[in-house]
Parts: sequence; C-alpha cells; structure tokens
Amino acid sequence: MGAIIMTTVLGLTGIAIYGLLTRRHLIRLVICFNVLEIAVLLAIVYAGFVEGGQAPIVGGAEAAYVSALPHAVALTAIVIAASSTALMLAYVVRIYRTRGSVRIERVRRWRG
Amino acid sequence: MAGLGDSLLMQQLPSLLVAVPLSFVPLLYFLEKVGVPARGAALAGMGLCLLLSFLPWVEGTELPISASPGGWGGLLGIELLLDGRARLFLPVISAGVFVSALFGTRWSQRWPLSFYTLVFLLFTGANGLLLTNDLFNAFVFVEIAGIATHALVAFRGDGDGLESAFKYLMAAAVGGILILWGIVLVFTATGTLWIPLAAERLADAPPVFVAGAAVLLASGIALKGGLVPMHAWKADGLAGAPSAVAALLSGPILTALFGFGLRILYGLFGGFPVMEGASAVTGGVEGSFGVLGSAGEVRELLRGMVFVVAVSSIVAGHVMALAQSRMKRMLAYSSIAHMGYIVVGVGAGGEAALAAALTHAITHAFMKVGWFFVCGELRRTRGTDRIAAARGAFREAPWLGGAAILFSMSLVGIPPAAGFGSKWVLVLESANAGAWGGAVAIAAGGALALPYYLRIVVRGFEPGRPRAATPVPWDSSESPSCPEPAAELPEGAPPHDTTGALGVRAVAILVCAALILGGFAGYGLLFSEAFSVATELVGSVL
Amino acid sequence: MSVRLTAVVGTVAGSQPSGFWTHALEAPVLDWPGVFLAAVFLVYVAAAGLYLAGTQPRRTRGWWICAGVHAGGAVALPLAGDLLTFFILWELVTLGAVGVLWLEPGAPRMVRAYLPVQLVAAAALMGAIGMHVAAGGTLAITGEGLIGGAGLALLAVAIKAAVFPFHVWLVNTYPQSRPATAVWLSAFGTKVGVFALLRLLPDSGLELAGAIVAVVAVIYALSRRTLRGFLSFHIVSQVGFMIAGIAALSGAGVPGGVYHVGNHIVYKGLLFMVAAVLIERRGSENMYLLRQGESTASPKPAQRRDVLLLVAAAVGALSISGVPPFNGWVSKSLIKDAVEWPATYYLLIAGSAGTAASFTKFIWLGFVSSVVPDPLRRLSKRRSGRGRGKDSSAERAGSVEIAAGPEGSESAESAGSAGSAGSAGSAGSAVAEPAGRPGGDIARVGLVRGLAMGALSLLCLLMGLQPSWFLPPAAEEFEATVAAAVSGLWPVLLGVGFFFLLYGRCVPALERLPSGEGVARGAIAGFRRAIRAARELHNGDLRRQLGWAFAGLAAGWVLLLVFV
Repeated sequence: MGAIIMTTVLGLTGIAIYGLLTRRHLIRLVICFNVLEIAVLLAIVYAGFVEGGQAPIVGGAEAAYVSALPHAVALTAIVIAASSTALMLAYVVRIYRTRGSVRIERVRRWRG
Repeated sequence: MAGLGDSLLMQQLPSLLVAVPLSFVPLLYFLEKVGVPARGAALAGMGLCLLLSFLPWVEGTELPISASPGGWGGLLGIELLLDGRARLFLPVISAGVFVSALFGTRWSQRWPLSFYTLVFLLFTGANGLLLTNDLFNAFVFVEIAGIATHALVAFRGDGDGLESAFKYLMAAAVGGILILWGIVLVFTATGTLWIPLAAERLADAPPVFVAGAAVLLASGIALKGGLVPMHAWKADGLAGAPSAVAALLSGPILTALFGFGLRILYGLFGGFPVMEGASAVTGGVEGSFGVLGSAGEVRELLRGMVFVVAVSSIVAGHVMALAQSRMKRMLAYSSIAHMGYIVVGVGAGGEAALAAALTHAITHAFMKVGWFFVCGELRRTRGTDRIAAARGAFREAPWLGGAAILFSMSLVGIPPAAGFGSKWVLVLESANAGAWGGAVAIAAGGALALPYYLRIVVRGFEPGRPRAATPVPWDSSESPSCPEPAAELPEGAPPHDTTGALGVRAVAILVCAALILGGFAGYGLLFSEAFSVATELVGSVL
Repeated sequence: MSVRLTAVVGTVAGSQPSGFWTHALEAPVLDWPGVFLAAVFLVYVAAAGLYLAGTQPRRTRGWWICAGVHAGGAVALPLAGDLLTFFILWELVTLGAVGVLWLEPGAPRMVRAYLPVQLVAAAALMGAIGMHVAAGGTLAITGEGLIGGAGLALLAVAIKAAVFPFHVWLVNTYPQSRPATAVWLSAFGTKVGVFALLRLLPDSGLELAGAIVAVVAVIYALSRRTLRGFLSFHIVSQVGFMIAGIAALSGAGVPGGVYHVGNHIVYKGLLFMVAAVLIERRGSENMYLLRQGESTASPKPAQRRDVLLLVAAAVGALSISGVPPFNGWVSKSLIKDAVEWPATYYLLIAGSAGTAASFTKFIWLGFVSSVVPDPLRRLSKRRSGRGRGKDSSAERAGSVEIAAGPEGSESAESAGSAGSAGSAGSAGSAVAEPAGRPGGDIARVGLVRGLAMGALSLLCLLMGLQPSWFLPPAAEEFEATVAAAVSGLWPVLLGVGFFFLLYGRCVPALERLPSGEGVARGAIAGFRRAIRAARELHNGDLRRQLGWAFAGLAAGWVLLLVFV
C-alpha cells in the first residue's frame, strides 16, 4: 500500500514539475501547481497512516489512535493552496485583460 | 519598569506580537467605518507593534519567553518562542515595516485601507515566522506573509506589477511546496512538528531523512529568499513592485526568513560547527554536535553545497547587477549577493562568523530599504527608475544624493557606514573560520559592487536634462498597454497629489540614513549583542 | 587639512563605549622609513602646493579638498601603526585621487581607468589582512610583515605601485589629466604602494622582478612621444628600482630603496613641473613639437625665461639618471651595492643607461632641437650613394615623418585629450603646429612656480651632497668616492651615447611595442561579453526560472543520494 501511494505521489510530483517547465498556458501552470500541492497533501496524509488505526475519538476500541495532526496540517495546507490559487487566477484574469493573451510568452516583459 | 520583566504582558508577549498586527486587519476596516482615517490608525498600530518589539530589551527580562495560544503547550499545540535571535530581529522587522509603510503613505492614498491591511498581514506573517516553534505553523506564517506581499506587489494593478507579482507568486508557491515537503519528511521521521522534540527524535532518524529534509527546507527558503540557483525570479519579481513594497520584500521579509532559517538550522539540525581549517584565535565549538554531527560527511557535504550556493550568489548577484539599466532590478540582484554574504558567514560555523552574519543581515535590511526609498523618490521625480533617467536628480535634491551616497557606501563596505563594519567583520571571521573562498568572494564583491552604485551617484550629480514640465504621477505604470488605473477609481476618492510634499518620504529616508550612521558608530554594541545571540544558538544544540 | 580629517575620524572611532574600533588601533610606528617618507611627502606637499597655486587655471576648493585627502592620507600612511589604520588611509589615498580625477576635464575616462583596478587592489588588501589575522597575525604593524595572504597583498601592492603589467592605470590617468595635476598625483599613489611592500612583505625576494620591471618600463618609456607619457613610464621604471632595493635579499637595500623613494618624489615632481610648463607653452604633449618652428639649424640663444626651466629640467634629468652629485646617484648606488645577483645588477645598469638615454632625449627635444639625431641614417644614405639634395630632403622628410606620423594607440587619446584636457587651442593631432605660441602669462614660468621648482632642485642637490643628513644612522656610510662617481657615471654615459648614436634607428621598432591599453580594452570587452551572456541567460521566462530551481534541488538530491 505504501509503495502504491508513494509511487502516486512521486508520479504526480513529476507530472506537475514537467508541466510547470513545459506548458505555455497560464491556467495550465496554475493547474500544475495544484497537482503539486495535491501530491504533498497525499504524502502528508500518508505520513499519518497507522496500520489498523482508530480514529482519535475517546472511548473507542483498544487499537492505536491515528494522530489528528497530519489531517489538520492537510486541511490547513488545502486552505493555503486554495488562497494561493485564487490569487494566481486573479492574476491570470487580469493579465488576460491587460495583455490580451494567456500565453506565458506574453508575461516576459521583464528580462535580463 | 522593574516588574515588567515577569509581568503578564511579558509572558504573553510572543502571542501579542502576532495577535496585535493581526487584529488590526479587521480593526482598520471598522475604524474607518467609524470615521477614523485608515492611515492614522494604521501608523498608530505599527507604532504600537514597534514598541512591543522593543519590550524584550527591557532590563530584567528572562529569555526565552514561551507562549502558547490556548495554553496547549508545544507538544499538543503551537509554541511561540521569543529567544535571543527573535529579540534581535523583531525590532528590525518592526522598524522596517513601519518605515516602509511611512514611505508608502503617499502613493497608496487612493486605497489606504487595502494597503495598510495588507501591510499588517505581512507584519503578522513576518513576526509569526520569527517567533514560532512549530514547523507547520511556520509554513502557514510564511504563506500569510507571502500572500500579502504578492497582493502588494500587484497593488497598482498595472502591467508591470502584474507580471512581477505573477512570477513572484509562482516561485514563492513552489518554494512553499518545497518547505512543505521538508516538513513532511521531518514528520515522517519524527512524528511531531514541535521543533525541539523533532530535533531530539531526528538524532535517531536515518540520515537520508535528515539530509533530505535539510535539503528541501533549505531549498524552499532559498527559493523564497533568492539564492542561486533559485534567484532568477527575484529581479523580475521586484522590478514592477512599488518601491515601498520592494523595500518590504528586501528588508523585513528577508530578515524574517533568515531568522526562521537559523531556527531550523540550529534548532532542528544542529548547525555547522567550526571547520577544520579554522584558526584558534576566535572560539568555535569543536567536535560534532547535533543530528548532522552524527553523519559527519553529510554535514561537510551540505556545508560544501552551502558554500557553492553562497559564492555563486555573490558572483551572480554582483555581475548581473552590473548589467542592469533599471535600479530596482539592480537592487534585487544586489540583495541576492548580500544574501550570499550572510550564507558564507552561516556556513563557516562557529559563533564569531555567525555573529558577523547576523549583523550583516541587520545592516543590510536598512541599507537596502533605504536605497529602495531613494529609488522610489527618483521614480516620483523622474517617472521611471531607469538609471539613465536619473541624470541630475541629485543636483536638484542634494539630501537625496547624500542619502544615496551613504547607502551605497554601506552596501559596498566603506566607512563611516554600518555596512563597512559588518562586511569587514564578516570577511575577517569567515577567513578565521577557514572559509577562504567565501571571504575572498565577499571582499571581491565589494570591488564589483562599487561601479554600479557609482554609476547612479555620478549620473545623479551630473548637470543634466531638466525635469519634465508636468510632474509624472508616480503611481502610474510605464507600460503603455495597460488600462488607466483611474478607470478603477472608486467614487469620491481624493485626487493623488504629486507636488513636492516630501514630508514622510524624506523622514523615512533620513531614518534609514540615521540608522546606518548609528550602526557604524555603535557597531561594537551590535556585534556584541549578535555574538551573545550566536553563542546562545550554538549552545542550544543538543 | 586632511591630516585633520583623519584625526577627526580617528577620534570619532576611538570614542566608542565598547571600544570595538579602538582595540585594533595602535600607536604610530616611528621608524626611519616611516618618518622619512612622511617628511618627504610633507615637503613635497608644500612645494607642489606652491607650484599649483601659481598655475592657471586656478584649482577649485573642491579640487584642493580632494587633493588634500589624497596627500594627507599619503602623509599619514607611513606612520600608521596598525593594519586597520593602514587600510583606511590607503582607501583615503585612493578616494582622494578619484576625487581629483573626477574634477578634471575628461573625468569619466580617467575615473574608469583608475577606479576599478584600485578597488581590486583595495579588496585584495582587505583579503590579505583578513588572511593574516586568520593565520594568527596581529593587527599591529611589526617588522615581520604579513603571515598569511602574501599573494593577495602582492597583488594589492603591484597594482598600487603600478608594477608592470599592472601599470596601465597609471599611464592612462596621469598623462590625461591637466598638465599640472600630474604634479600632485605622481608623488603619492605609487609610493604608497612601494611603502606597503616594505611594511607588508619585507621578505618578498622580488629584487630580480624589480630589476626586470625597471628595464622593461624604460624600453616603453623610450618609445613614448608624449611628455607625460614617458614620465609616467619612468615612474614605473623607478618603482622597479625601489622594489629591487627594498626586496634585496641581503636586506641592506632597504635604506637605499627607501631613500630612492624619497628622491624620486622630489625629482619626479620637479620633472612633472617642468613638463607642465612645457606643455602649456607649446599647447601639445608631443615632445617632437616642443621646438617646432624654431630653426633646426642652430639653437636659439636661451632666453631668460628658459634658463630656470633648463636648469630645473637638467637637475631633474641628472638626478633621475643617477649623475653625481645629485640625489639619484646616491640612492641608485646604494641599491646597486645591495643587490645580490649579478643578473639583477646588470639589469639595473641597463635600466640606468636607458633612463639616461631617455632623459637625454627629453633635454634634447625640449631645449635643443626637434629632430632626433640619427647619424647612422646619414651614414647609410651616403653609402648607398644618393644625391645630396635628395638626401637632405629625404632626411628632412624622414625626420618630419617621425614627428608627424601616427603614433601608437596612445596618440589619439593622449594628444587629443591632452589637447582637450587643459591646453587651450591645441589642434589635438600630431600634425605640425603653427610656429610657436605667443608667450603670455600662461607661458611664463612665473615667480611662484619658479620658486617651487628651484626649491626642489636645491633639495635634489642637497640630498645628493649630504645624504648622511637623511639616511638612518644605522645605514652604511655612503662613501662619496671617485670610484662611486665613476660607477654611477658610466651607465649614464652609455645611455647618452646610445641616444646620440642609435636611438634614431630604433624609433620605428620601439613604436611597435604592444600597448597595455589594447590588453585592457580586450579584457573589458571580454567582461562585457560575459555580462551580456549572463543577461541573455536570464530571459525572463518563468519556466526557465523554475527550471533552475528544480535543477538545483535535483543536483542537491543526487549528491546526497550518492554520498549517503
């Protein structure tokens, strides 16, 4: 199980990095960032995985409790990623309005 | 004041330092509804935070001060720890933010509420980043500060700032992801996010995890801070930003990032001990310590990578700065080089080099902030920050020229500016600690840096073309293809004034200049404080 | 003026509560080299100040302040007791010179030629001090010099003292400034470098290198057409002598070397003063034009205003050539006695001969005739049997051709900018000028300047006749014997003979020597190309920016995985 998840995580990360480096459409870059974020979230949740674990509610069975920490971390990270994505999309919209295109070549006025 | 040291105020100070700026974010809105102008309230709030940041310096304060929101403690909750390092950097951050907000009052007076709200968010993030003792909490604060900064960079809404903000946001987001990956690795290896506990448990973790986490965290911070090879976004990111925002980015944010980096390096990983080639003149802690000490080669490998990064930052920063024709980009590359200086000091190991790096971080914050202010003033009078357009500007405003000369001297390392002291000591102590290459690079960096500052200063004093007849509204973009920002102006907004009311801008510049001069005169004091902080950091390693 | 400035800085720095700066400061070192050099600098400041006070156009107050900082730093530097003060004074000397150059016409070029390389020297010195401290050395100046960082210190000294091949800054700035400014600048900068060699690297073992520099620079000097260009190369050459003396392996050359530094300040200053007057009179730096328009058949009877100039020039030329009883003779003899290797000794002899030849040329072209004698040409032409009439016209054409032909790369710059820099009304090219300028106030030597030159001439004579007044008591007594006079004179005679017999032949070959400017220009062009490439590398593409970040991360990972 762990191997599958780690493979997925690494695969998603690789896809996202590849996308960030090669795609020209701004929205696609935002999507790649999101995929990258999701990969990390998966890793976080998996980090808290306990074989045969129990939800951390007092009064349950005697199995080991899963720590709530990674889930809290994941939720917070989702929030942060969402706000970053919102900001990115706002920029993309504004860039489209001012430059007329969403290609990354149009966002290259600063150089050198 | 006698009882202040152990008063309730002091005990809760770390929480206050985060809570007060954060509370001003909604407070400004409500105050404006009631009729209190946003600018006054914001500056008052920042003054309050500045005062709070100086409180730990009161006599009789016992460090470290630990506070935990909700009283949960570090293990279950989040601990905010005010140790010597935080005590040293907090006033720097607060003063930097205050002075930058002061500088930005004029051009932001169309939308003061938005501006100050964002600045307070940034302030919260920076303070929190410095104080927190929880890894993920640090990530949260970094992102908070980051989002505020991104919005501020694009504040004008014009094409240039937009592109800058977009590139900066993408790079910072990726950097955040890298930091998050590092945190994940630490959590996987230790099962906790509380830094002291994680440090203990990392000692028994397999070296792969430790080294991997170190690399990822360092890369994330490097990407956010702008060290080679993660530097390429920085010049673009700062080029379109308003000067006050660029100053915020190069002063307080970098200092907070550096403070956090130190916490991780020394609190989590055990730092770099003194190198083998060090002389016995100034002390260093011998032997291996900390988690990285358990894998000595890994530590030396990491140190080697750190030096490669540092020296290439110095070289790349100065060389690229020489090539620039716009001041903000030039200053951005210069920041990259100075970060390289600081990293040399950190990598060299031992208390003295670390103390030198600390002093340089402090002096650099103010001299870079000051230069960005000068840049902003030039943009106001000339409409652009191109170096070629600055011709004759200092003749018209000699006080500006004097400030520019002082900041340049400080950045290059010429007395009687604070930068001379910090750079001289950094070179000496790095060489002392055995980091020859780094010391030579720093010394050579000064020689490389002078031409590009001299160029601006010389051009500024040349008798040149007269100013344009109509003053250029300084908050307009230079790119022709952007819609007029006035179209977005809310109803009833006051017209922006472009007349020469220097007022607060001059005050901001002069404050920075005074700090630079004061930093030179009192450098001994500064270094001794930094040395005690460095000793504490080194001594805190397990 | 600037001594006060350094004192103020010292007081401010010293009054710190934590004493951070003062823990590095030591009391001034008052040994003979330091006191002697400081005294000579001071005397020269008086003489040069007098000279410049009598020079038109008058210098502005800003210029005097910068010049004062430059000279003040140089006066205080020999007395510095610790490396921090030494470094700060070194920087002050540099900054003062930059200020002076900035206030000259044609400043950007000169400052561009001067400042970057001086900053490299300062950075090298800082690095050397750092390595010295790191190796366990103390910041106090002792007799042993630096423990670590010798290489960097050597670089700093070589640049500051304009040792070949780091001399390019000197030959590109002193000749381009206004004629009289070189009087001020020539005395302080390079001597600070030589003194630094004495303090920082007393056991450098560079005597052979110094001798080589002396000879190579003299060869370049012989090839120069401009007055101040050739004097600048002679600075480089004499610095070679100084280095040979100070670095002499036996250690007995230090008095001679330091005395040579002092002598050089005096007579080189005198020569620059003379050169400034000659340039102002003629409106051009070109030596071949100094007597243009005067009849070449027979020299005019010396006018009264020329007598003092001729005497001053003669004293300077004789001093630098090492003719008894002037001061150059004493110091050169001391140096020659102290060097250990025969190779060094003969190179120094060659250097003296070349110096003598060069200054014979100076006196000849300046006061006698504008045609360099070339007896061999007449000899070879007579042998090939050409007609007499054609002969003389070819001769004249040949000699005029030498005078008016295009120079090395120096000409367009030095003649042109010497023309634009200060001498009013110069055509700026090497084409033959209209006959003579009317003598006006500018052309007169003037009482003030005459006094300055006269004082320096007398000092040259005095330092030569009574060296025991100036040399340290511990030094070996300099015996003014006939043998010493002969040993000083014969290289001079060799040089004079060379000039009259062979020099004319050698001129075309000499003018084809590679110039330092070309090399420097190539280096700068290369640097610019590198910067442009770096700029192109940062092309603003976000994907490239992220790509580098990931590449760096990947490199870090790979390294770790390999080694862990």
